[in-house]
This record gives sequence, structure tokens and C-alpha cells, in this order.
Amino acid sequence: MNEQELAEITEAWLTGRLDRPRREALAAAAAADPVLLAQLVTDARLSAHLDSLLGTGDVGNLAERVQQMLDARANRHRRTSCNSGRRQALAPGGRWRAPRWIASIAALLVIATGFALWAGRTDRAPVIGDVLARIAAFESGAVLRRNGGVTPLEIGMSLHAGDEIDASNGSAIVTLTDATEISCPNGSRIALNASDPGMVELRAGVLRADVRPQDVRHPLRFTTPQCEAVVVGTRLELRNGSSRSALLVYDGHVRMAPAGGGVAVDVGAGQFAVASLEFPPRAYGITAQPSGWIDAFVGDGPDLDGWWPVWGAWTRRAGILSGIPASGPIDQDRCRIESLRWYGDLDLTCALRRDDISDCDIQLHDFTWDILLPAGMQPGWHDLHVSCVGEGPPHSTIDGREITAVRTDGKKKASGPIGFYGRGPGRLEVKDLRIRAR
Amino acid sequence: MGMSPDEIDGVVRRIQGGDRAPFGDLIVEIQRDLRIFVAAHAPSADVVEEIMQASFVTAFESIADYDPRGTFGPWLKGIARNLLRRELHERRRQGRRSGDILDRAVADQCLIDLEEREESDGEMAKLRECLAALPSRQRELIERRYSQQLPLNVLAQQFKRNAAHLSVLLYRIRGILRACLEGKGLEA
Repeated sequence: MNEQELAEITEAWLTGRLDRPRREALAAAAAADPVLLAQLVTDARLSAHLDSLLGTGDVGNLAERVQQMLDARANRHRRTSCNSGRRQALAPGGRWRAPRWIASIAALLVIATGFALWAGRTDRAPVIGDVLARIAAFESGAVLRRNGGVTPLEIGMSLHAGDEIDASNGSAIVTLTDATEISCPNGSRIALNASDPGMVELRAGVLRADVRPQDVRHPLRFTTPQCEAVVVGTRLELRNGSSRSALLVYDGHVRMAPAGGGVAVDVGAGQFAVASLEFPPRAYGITAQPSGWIDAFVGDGPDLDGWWPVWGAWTRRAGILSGIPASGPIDQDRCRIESLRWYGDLDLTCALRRDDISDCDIQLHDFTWDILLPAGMQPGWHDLHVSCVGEGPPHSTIDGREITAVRTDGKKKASGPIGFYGRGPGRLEVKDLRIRAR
Repeated sequence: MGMSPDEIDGVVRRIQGGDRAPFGDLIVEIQRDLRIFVAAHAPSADVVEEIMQASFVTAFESIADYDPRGTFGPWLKGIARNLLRRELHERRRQGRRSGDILDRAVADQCLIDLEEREESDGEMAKLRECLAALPSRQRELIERRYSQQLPLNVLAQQFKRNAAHLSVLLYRIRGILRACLEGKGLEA
């Protein structure tokens, strides 16, 4: 068993989610290896210690459960001690045994008591704080998560500290009390920080915000696991992606600070910045200005050079950008990366290799044009050239052969991101990418 | 913070006098100490919860037997110890019957600790020191895993890693904690 397998199986065992075959495999491995057995025993003990040390130890819940058990026992006792003179069967040892109908009533009473206690919980729930925001609009499927419960959204619904809007299936627009508008597109989750009313957490996906002018002493802050965006008043977009966050500022300016501390960067109107725990934030212009050839993905490192991995896992090593398709329910077998920078007219060259990727295309101008790579290409690297000027279709070749670009119906050309897309279980790679904005 | 043993006894006397209402307060007051004690000798978090509940229920039902002399905490721990011992023996028996070496080994070790090691506060203090020595990102992961009891897939979303990667991280962090505790002369 390698480390990965052992780690997964141990975690499943510790959390009681290990199925029988894997449990037997773990037990067999432990039986054959005393060191592993000792380690597993220690891990189990350590986990129990950590649970107790760090666990919230839901005290109210414990008290309530104990009370419920006592109530149930008391009910059982009352039921069993107040029979109306009818002869009852005695259990061996002379103890009275409740007939089934009494046992059924007792069970119902226990359930009813439990339900009453459960229903009564809302009365005893902690007082919810001030209204911090309201739901301005939503598409069905988006929900409110509060105190472990899930509630469908309603227009005007008040939101409080700690509330989470989950737009994994739907979308929502939230208005803060100062009329700041936060849009949560499909796939995003945001939460109003439980202890800081001026903080909104982007837990997944993307948020777009039109922020009213703020008190500079108490600016609004958007956070992700990788960064904090301090906003005084602006239009912005914040993305929370795999291991990195991107901030695009359309108006005003925002300070982007790494989550773990370190040097912050001011991101002005028309700029974007990417932050990660692995590299400091860096600001770029959103709209590409006419330039000479610019090389992308040179060398290696965690920074994807201002590109945003939309689906799948993307890495940059030795000048090669490599994408492995995702495995989620929606993005299954798809990988896509797009530039955060917007390009209008441009020339682009690169070498491209696809290994077990059936569909592959290059997307220009925010999906205005799709350049479809032909199926059945030989393995290995292929040279791609794209030139796109004016309203006509881009001229594109692969290994010198012209390939077709498809226009999205009705869409007008505008500056937008460039995207590389692949579908299949394999890997899509790009190297020697050079772009010239025109 | 906290009631004194005399104050606890005062609450107990009210309960002994037939006023059941303050029992919830007593649970809130004393549960942390009891949890630390139980966790130091229990094989899993589930067992900790079971023993906690059963201890308080038993304590309530036997509260007339308690002689208020400022020793309610030790008295309650005695109840928990007996319940835990019974549970561990049962698990060991089950492990023998089913041939499950894991359950049996964990139960054996817990029983040895239960009989031979009294102290639990000091162990938790050392574990706290080891946690404090972790890099912040690792500490955050382990805190979320254990404080919020979040499933791995939810943690994976929060940390922008896949679940398999987080399993490995958690596995390694537990290894670091084990080594740290051993360095302090303790086994977890």
C-alpha cells in the first residue's frame, strides 16, 4: 500500500466511512505489519484526542440529548407503571413486560417528545444578529445555508452574519444594506462572515460586485482562502479557483493581500491580479495593448502567467503548460484554461500536443470564435498559428494546414479572453506560446 | 469561568432535592473536563460521545448516591471510567469474535491506558503545544477537520485541493503530531 492509499484508507477508517472490503484489506495489512498496526492504533487515539480538544463539543446539543434520554426513560417509566388494572405479562424474574400496544405508544411518545424538543429548538436558538443583506434576485436552485439548515431563497429574504448563499445550482444577487450589489453566478458560494460584518467570503466560484463608496476606515473586504480584497468602492470580479484567486477590477481600485500575510498589491481599474499561497499577487492590465510578441509560460512555477484554470488541473513546467481534465460531475473529462487578459486583434503561435483528448479547440474573443482542431491528429507536437484581424474569421493553421473557425451565432466580436479547451481522459499540453496584440 | 466544587455541590443538592432544571447547567459546566478525560482513553470520537451521554444519564439517575463533598467531578469520571471499561471490553470481545485485529488492538491499548494512566489534562496540554507548533496552514486544516467535523470532500472544496491530497496531508500532519508527542515523552 503506498502512502496515498494508506492515507485515504486511514482517513476513511477514522471517520467510520470505510467499506467492508477496504476494512478487511487494512486489517490484513495491519496484521502483517506490527509497525503499521501500532501507527493505526495511535492515529485512532490521536483522532479522538483532537476531536475532543478542537471539537466545538456541542455542549447545548449534549445537554439536550441527555435531557431527551432522561425524558424517554421517564416516559417509559410512566407508561409502564400506570397500567389500568388489566393483567400484564410478567417477564422472567417477575419484571413486568409491556405489551406491544403500550410499547408502541411509548415509542410514539418518545418520538413526540424528541420532536417537541427538536421543534422547540428554534425558540432557544441563539439570537440572530442584524440584517446585513437581502436577496435581491435569484434563480431557483440557489439556497440559503444557515445553522446547518438549508432554505430555498426568497426575494427580500434577510441575511445575517454566518449565512451562506449556495448558488451551486442556480444563481443569486445579494444587496448589502448600503446598496452594494453582489452577484453570485452559477457555481458560486458566498458567506457573510460570522464575526465581521464587513467581510464577505467567497467560498467557491466567482462573485461580481458593484460596491458603494465605503468608509475608508471600515472598507468592505472579500476573502478567499488565498487572498483578501479590500474594497473602498468599485466594480470588481473575484474568482476562487483551485489553489489560486483572481481579482478583476473594472472601476476604482482594490488592494489585494495574500491570505497568509505578505506584500499586498494595488489593483487599479482595468487591471487584474492573481494570488496564491505559493506566489505573491501580481497585477496585469486586463486589456492587452498592441505589443510585440510576448512569450507565455516560460520556465516553470505555480504562477500560470495570468491565465485562469477553469476546468481541470493545470501546471507549468519547463515551459510546457499541461492540463489534466477534471473529474467532477459537471466538468467531467474537460479541461479549459483562459487568459485573464482580454485580447482583440491578435496573432498567436504555439505548439500543441493532445494525448487522449478527443475534442480540442482554441476559443477567441470570449467564445466569439472556436477554432476546432481536427480529429485523428498524429501523436506528438503540432504547430498552431492563428491570426485574427477585423471582423472576418481568424486565419488559422495546424502544421501549415488551414483549419476552420466557427463563429458563435449572433455574437459580435469584442475583446475577451483566449481559451484552450480539451475533452477526454488524457492530457492537453501547450508550449512555446507567443501572442502579439494588434 | 467555572463553578467551584462547592458551587457544583450546591447545584447537585438542588437536583437531589427534586429540581431537575439545573442539570443542564451542570452538564454545560462540567462537560469539558469529562470530555478530555474520556477522550484520553476512548478509541474514537463516536465512543467519546456515547460515553459522555451515558455518563450524564447515569449520574442523573444515581445522583442521590453522591455525597456532596466537593468531589462531583471525580465521581462523574468514575462513572465514565466504568462505562468506558465496559464498552472497551465489549469491543475487544467483538474484535476477537469477528477477527478484526484493528478494533481489538485499539480497544486493548485503550484498556491499558485506562488502567495505567490517570493523567489526561497534561496530555491535552502537550497536544495543544504540538498543534501550536504546526505551520498555520496545517493547523488550519487539522482544526477544520476536527473542530467542524467536515467531510473530506467539503474540506477539499474549502482548501482547493482534491480529497485524496487532503487525506495525505492529514495523514502526514498526524505523523508530525505523533512525533511531537513522542518527543514530549508521550504516546497519543
